[in-house]
Amino acid sequence: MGNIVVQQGDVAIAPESDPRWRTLVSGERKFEYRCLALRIMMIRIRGTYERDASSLQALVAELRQFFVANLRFAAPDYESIFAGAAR
Amino acid sequence: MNAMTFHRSLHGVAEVAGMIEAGAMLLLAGDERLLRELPRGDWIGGTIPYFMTAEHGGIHDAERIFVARLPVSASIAHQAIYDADSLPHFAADGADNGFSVILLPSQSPVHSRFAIEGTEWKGLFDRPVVGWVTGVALDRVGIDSAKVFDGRTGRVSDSAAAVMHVALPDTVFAKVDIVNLFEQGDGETLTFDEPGFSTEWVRVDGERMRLVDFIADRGIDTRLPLVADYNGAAINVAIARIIGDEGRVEFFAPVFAGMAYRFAKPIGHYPTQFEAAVAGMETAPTFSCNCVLNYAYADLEGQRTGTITGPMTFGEIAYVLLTQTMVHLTIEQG
Repeated sequence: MGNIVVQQGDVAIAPESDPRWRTLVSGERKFEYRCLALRIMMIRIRGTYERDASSLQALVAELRQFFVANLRFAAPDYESIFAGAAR
Repeated sequence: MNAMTFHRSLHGVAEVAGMIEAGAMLLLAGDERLLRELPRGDWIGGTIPYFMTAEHGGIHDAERIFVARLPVSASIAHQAIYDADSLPHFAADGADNGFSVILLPSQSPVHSRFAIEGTEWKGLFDRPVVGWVTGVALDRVGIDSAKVFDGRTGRVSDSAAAVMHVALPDTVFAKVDIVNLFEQGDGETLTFDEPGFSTEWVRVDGERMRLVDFIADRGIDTRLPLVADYNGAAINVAIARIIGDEGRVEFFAPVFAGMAYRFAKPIGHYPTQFEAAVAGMETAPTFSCNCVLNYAYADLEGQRTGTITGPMTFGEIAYVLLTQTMVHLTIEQG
């Protein structure tokens, strides 16, 4: 499931294999997140990764699941992340 | 107020009982004695006698119950009491489209466990999670105990959480956000080596010292919270008390290792600034709550915070435990 594109309305959620997920988890790319849930969740995800880099794939799956479940309010964040609008 | 919005107000026990018997789905807040008089039905409730109301503004009322009514198009996917062992799995019972409301008794095992471990729990971010920490009258702290109620089973607890998982039709979705008037001040950066609701030691720009000494040396007004920056969201940790003879500081929410905190800047007239902060809200909240510390410190009795109403609580929940913060959940079309 994680390695196929999931269509949510007009937005296709990238598969876990898309390298942009990994750069979010690792902190290589940073964004100004808009929705509260993502702001809070990314603190935990980044903290977990910093303590245990081997958790990368599980964190990618969790982050992707967040967008699958919450795209109706998280779509602006998804679109800015996957449009490559890094700050 | 749109069709999906709760009707909110203070009501007597008989009125609320009538709503329950008519099949309404309710989120309730009030004095323990009142909640114990209610019939079984589709409601959860928690103890607190402080409210921000449309009728009176801020009020301390132990004779009426604050009622938040779920929209009729909603349904209850699941409702239960969760103890400290089952609460970490609560999200698994939630609806595919909806939100969860969680009530935690102050000073209970679920209160501390949710606050410290909650973000690690599977599924926490799968749907909006809001709620509040139940409490008691401020002059009864340490005498009375905070409670939660599951209206379906009649269970009352001072140690476990009451949770209502609400399902929504596909035409709408829930969204949660906060209004926090506090922002980080310009003082030193404070970090902590261990998570917890109390501490003796802090690192001040990296240098270890006692937090009580830091507060005394800098003349900190402890009505101002510590504030951390969560990717742009200001998250408060309110000071509960200083235990001078132990040299410890207690908090109303935990500090976390690895987070950078600063004491907040002072704010001006709370009601005025709050009203400005919520002026741009396009959708009336379906649920909201604010902190009893804002009620007490900003002297909100008889004052209004815009059109926002709700219980004034011992802690607010928007995915995580917050303090001195207003939480609001809206139901949006689309």
